[in-house]
Amino acid sequence: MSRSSACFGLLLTLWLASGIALADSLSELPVAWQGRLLPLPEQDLSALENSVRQRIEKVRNALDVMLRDPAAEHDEIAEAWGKLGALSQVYLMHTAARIAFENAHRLQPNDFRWAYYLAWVELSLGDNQRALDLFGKAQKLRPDYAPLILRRAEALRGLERLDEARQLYLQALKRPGLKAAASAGLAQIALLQRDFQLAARLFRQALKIDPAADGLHYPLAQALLQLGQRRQARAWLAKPGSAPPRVDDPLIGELTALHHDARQYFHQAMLALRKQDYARSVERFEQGIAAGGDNPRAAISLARTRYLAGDKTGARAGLEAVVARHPDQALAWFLLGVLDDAEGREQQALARYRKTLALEPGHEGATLFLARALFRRKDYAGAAKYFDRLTSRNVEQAPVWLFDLVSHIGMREDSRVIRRRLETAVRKFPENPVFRSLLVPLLAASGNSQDRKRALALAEALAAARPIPPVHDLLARALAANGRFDDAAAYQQGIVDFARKRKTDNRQLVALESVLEAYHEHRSPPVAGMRAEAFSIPPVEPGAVFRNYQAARPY
Amino acid sequence: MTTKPTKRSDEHIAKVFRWSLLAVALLGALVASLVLIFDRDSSRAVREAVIEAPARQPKTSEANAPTLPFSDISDAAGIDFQHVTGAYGDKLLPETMGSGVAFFDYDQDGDQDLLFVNSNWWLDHAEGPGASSELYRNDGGGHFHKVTEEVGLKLSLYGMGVAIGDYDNDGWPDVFISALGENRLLRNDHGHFNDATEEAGVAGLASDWSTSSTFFDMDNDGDLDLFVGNYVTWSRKIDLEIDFRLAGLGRAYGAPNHHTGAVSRLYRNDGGHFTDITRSSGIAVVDKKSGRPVGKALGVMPFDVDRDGLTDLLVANDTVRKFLFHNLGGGRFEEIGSVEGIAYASNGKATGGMGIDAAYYLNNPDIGVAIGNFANEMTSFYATLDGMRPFVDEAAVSGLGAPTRLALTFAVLFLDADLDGWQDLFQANGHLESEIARVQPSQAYAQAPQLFWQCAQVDCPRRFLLADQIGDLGKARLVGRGAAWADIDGDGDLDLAISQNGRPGRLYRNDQRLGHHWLRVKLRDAAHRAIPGARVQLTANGVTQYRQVTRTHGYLSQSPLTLTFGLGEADSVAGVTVIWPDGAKQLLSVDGVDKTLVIDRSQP
Repeated sequence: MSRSSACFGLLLTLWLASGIALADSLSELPVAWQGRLLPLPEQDLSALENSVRQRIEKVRNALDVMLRDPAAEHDEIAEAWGKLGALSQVYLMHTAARIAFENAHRLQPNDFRWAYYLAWVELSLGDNQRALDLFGKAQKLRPDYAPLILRRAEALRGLERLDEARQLYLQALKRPGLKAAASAGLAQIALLQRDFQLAARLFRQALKIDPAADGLHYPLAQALLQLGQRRQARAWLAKPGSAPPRVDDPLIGELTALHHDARQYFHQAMLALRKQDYARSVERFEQGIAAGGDNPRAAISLARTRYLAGDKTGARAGLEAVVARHPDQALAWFLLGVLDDAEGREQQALARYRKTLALEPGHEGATLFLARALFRRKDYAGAAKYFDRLTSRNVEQAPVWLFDLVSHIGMREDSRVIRRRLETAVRKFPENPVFRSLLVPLLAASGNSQDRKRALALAEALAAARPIPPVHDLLARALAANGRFDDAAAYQQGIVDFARKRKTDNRQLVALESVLEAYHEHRSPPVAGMRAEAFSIPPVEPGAVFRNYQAARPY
Repeated sequence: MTTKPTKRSDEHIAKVFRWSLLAVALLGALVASLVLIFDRDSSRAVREAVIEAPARQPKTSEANAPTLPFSDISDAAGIDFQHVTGAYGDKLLPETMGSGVAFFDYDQDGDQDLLFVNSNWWLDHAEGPGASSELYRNDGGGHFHKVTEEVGLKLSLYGMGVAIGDYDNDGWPDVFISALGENRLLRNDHGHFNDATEEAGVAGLASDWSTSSTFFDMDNDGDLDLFVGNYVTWSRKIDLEIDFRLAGLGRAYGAPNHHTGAVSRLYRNDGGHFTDITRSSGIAVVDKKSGRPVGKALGVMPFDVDRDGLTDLLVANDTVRKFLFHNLGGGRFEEIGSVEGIAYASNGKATGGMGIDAAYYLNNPDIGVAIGNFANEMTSFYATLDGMRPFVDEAAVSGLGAPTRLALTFAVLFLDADLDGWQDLFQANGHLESEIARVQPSQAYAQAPQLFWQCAQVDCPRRFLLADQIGDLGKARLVGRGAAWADIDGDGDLDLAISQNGRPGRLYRNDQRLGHHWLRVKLRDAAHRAIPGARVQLTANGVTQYRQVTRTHGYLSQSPLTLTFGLGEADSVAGVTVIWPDGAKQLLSVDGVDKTLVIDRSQP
């Protein structure tokens, strides 16, 4: 044998040996179990939190040992398969759940739980026929288990066997813990059969029993709409939700109870946040952090929610704690900057916005708020630098383009450059009257007759859409610029009359009359240059930022 | 000399806004008072429901769908299109969405040519030359020849959907391709395409992810306006940061609910240049609390839901409520999906809506709206009764509920597959995850397409039956996405093209031999242009069929404007009525069947 083939043989042996060592007895069943149980391949658990992973691995390892032990009790092994099935099901590994429950069922064919859970897996996957068959088998083991009635009804409804489903729902109506769900099921059938009166009554009945079942609001509204009760329907539509009616099902309750991890709390926190139930959201974030340990993203979300719940001090403290522990968290720095900005700590705000941008150069929030802060300081060059970054990304917010333009005006940029910027904004926001309104005086004052004609066309379009005095003022100027002083005077007269009627203060009235006089004298009134100082940026409102600023991963 | 605006003009601008606010407030008060006047139902206490004896549900028919063999002729017909997703392992959401397919007569030679849109490699992970969409020219007999390059359609972009329309009214159908990134408009200059995106102003933003789109005449002014659906606010950075994982599978394609929605766009055609009127038109739907866009549009269907002569828009959104944009005229729309019953499933949940189609499927004024949904969500089937809205989701009583629940459906298409005069429903299915069966045993990546035959017999009204004798189509396991129908070989029945995600495009020839008659109707206006938006009623054998003319059906795809009416056993047509988009009616008598009837607006 050559040396190379000997090496290859050694490598092959090592590879095979490592393979044997890696595969557990669940994925490669010991000979004694082959043909009696189904193998369960190892699962990629990287999506799960450590604590959940450990729980699953612990059960799997215990099973591994039991399957290798010829003396292990069948009942114990079945329990372990059942537990693994339950954990797999609640964490949505349905294939694994099906295999594990099937194995438990093979070992304990008379145990109702495994038959029921097997059916439950199919129902949750939408395979109603398999679910129905399996619930039927389960029923033979324990015909007195009341939730079976409802589960079979659900499967039958999914199979469009409505008469049979209805009969079972009617039976379920007599069971207290099933009444809300049974009413809702019957209501859904009534809705399908266009008996809207009955559907509405049944949905209301279900909601009376279980007011938290907000998933019923929408179908109830649909029934009411069909009955012509639009106002009531709209009231239900205004409270959308997706929660189904409660079902007292102890076995499913046991499954659900296994689902405890930080992510579940965070999910509930986000749901509460969307419903603006900030107190609950804070509570859930706190529980999630307690369950899952250090999680800077969740800590930032908690701070944001605290702010929205009115706990501004707690919000700041939370964010400060995050940046102390995780100085790479750009979002926390940005939100701290926003708080400083709102509280008048301008220098600190600027520093924190800059810190955010140092960590994440493309951070839109920090770019925008830094630009705004600099604009407020009348540092127009500084503001323009950051507004430019946003406009170069073609952002959709018209105010960004407006203040970018104004910043450049503040820098006393050449009027041709300003006009070019304005033209870009007009093209980008063809429906926005502000940019066109700003462009009209520029064009009207141009020496180019084509520009003046365009000013008139723009002003006429603006006036057609909004025939109000400020727009008529623009139109009058454009008319005058095109030599139509009498038409301009007519519009200006309307403005003056309106001002008199509204008892506008005398100084403004005099100014308006002097413009009118200019038109009567066939001259264009003087036009003052646009000043950046005339524009002010509204104050920072942290509530809006804390509520709306997107985090790709909120926990 | 350039003069700057005065401070006063700044004040005027502020006044403009104040006036606008006042106007809005007045309008709001007016609407509120109208609501109070017209909506006076009294509030009633909840009473215990009395359950009557079970009402009889419609009897399930003993009838079976006829044999409807569709033969896979892709290779024989010369279709060698291969879709490229660009997937390289990071599992980026756009890699799952596939792209569209269109039948249209680009060279005006009277037969339907075939365009498959392609996505692309990611720039930094290219495994080959830039992928291109492909155009295949039909020789009239159902054989195709690739002409992409010679007609100027060699495009390299991350393409999604396609809309066909003669936007410049020159009689030649133009092509709009939606994309991840900027969209393209290709003007058809007598069979050669030139990029007109910039001059038309319909590129959208580089950050947009556009999906289904449609040319339609929203204001009946004779030119085609353009709606472009946008999906979600997406970037590779966001996708990677979300790092979506499925237990049991690891890194996986994330659901859209991890991404913010996006505003779709509406462009008004102003004589060849388009003006973006998204904001003023009411198309931009934003969440009142967060101010963020609500929509996650994947499918769009232009349809005059209230038959007022103005085309409305139905939009299928993924995991958020569906929209019905009611066309108010004057370029304004109102979103009324919730009050019209199509926003959510009947359990109050938003489904993962993909493709959409609508039809007068019962040969009366009743409308059926089908929406393909995610796995474990049955296809939605919103229907009216006696022509009255709101819609009710009848999937669970129409025969569509149970058989569609497990499928992950993208395209849904109404077509009369057996030419019996009743529209059937086709759906293209396929999952997002290639290894989904590892965690969901009832799922597979490649799934069977489904054809539901409409059983219009006396004992099975309003019901569809899953056709199980459909030839190669039934045996196929596809990662289906877009789909389109057309008669590629002139034999009267409708054939199917289906796009797959990351797999070859397929072409299925309808080989039904039921001997049913048919009539094809092609409408042309006075200038011989095909204009969508008209409605056609055809009466044969005592049954009147209703159709609305549009190319947009399904998911990211387009079918011809020409209408195909199955006539069943009837060998004559009592009459055809055309209601043109401006409301004018034209009544025609028809001689003979099994032919194409060209109806000119100018014809008396």
